[in-house]
Amino acid sequence: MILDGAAGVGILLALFMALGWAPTEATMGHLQRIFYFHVSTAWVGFLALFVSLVGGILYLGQGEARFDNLSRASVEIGFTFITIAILTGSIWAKSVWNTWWTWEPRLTTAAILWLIYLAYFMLRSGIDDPEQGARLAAVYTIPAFVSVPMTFLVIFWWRGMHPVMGWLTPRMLATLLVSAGAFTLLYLALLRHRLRLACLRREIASLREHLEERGA
Amino acid sequence: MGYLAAAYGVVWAGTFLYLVYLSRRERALEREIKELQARLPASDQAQAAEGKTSGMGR
Repeated sequence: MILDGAAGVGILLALFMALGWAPTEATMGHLQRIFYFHVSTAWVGFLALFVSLVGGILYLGQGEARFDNLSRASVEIGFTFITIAILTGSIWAKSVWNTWWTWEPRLTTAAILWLIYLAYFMLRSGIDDPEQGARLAAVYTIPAFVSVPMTFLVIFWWRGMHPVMGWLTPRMLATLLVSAGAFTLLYLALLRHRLRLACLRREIASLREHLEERGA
Repeated sequence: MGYLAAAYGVVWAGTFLYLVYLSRRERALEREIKELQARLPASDQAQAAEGKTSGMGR
């Protein structure tokens, strides 16, 4: 509850700073304000996918269901935020580049990343045995994660159209940091709720087992 | 300004839809737990309730 409240307050503060407090950028004008939430959602997406990698590795090492739950929940949240980041980037591209999409390096690697993690859900839903599904999904998170640093670093490797973050005024930097912090809190709050679903599912499985034993 | 509103709309719509999905799933699972608990004999119901409070780590 405290985490939910902190995330809510943080997001409202970030919204106020991004839309009202941060100065208007000279070249792009108000459109540049998309950047604060676009970068923050991408950051949380990358963070969540990193947590899913850690959860996957821990599950492979220790075999405890809670690590699989963590990995799965984090992929789900990460995928949601990466989708939001891609959509906000596409809206920005339409206004600045006059196209919704172009196959430049950052956008291409982001699309590959999105498809890779979409396949994660297909993999999980395609395997009936929960333990086998968890093991294969944990293994999958390792090569899948390669797409995350690739997407982040590609703008430094190839010259494309995607802007590289340059110099920011102190107010712009503060807005970006508050926004990234608020979305990180939101990620933690969502993760907590998503993990609770896993607990409830486990409780249902245990109750069903109990009822079967009793023949009810 | 239209693009700015659209971008922020996408952020809020995406987050809101995900929250709705989580809360609907949570409610459905809680309802299922209540139904399953109601099918348990009275002695087991007390045991299940105890297990829920001590073992689930909410």
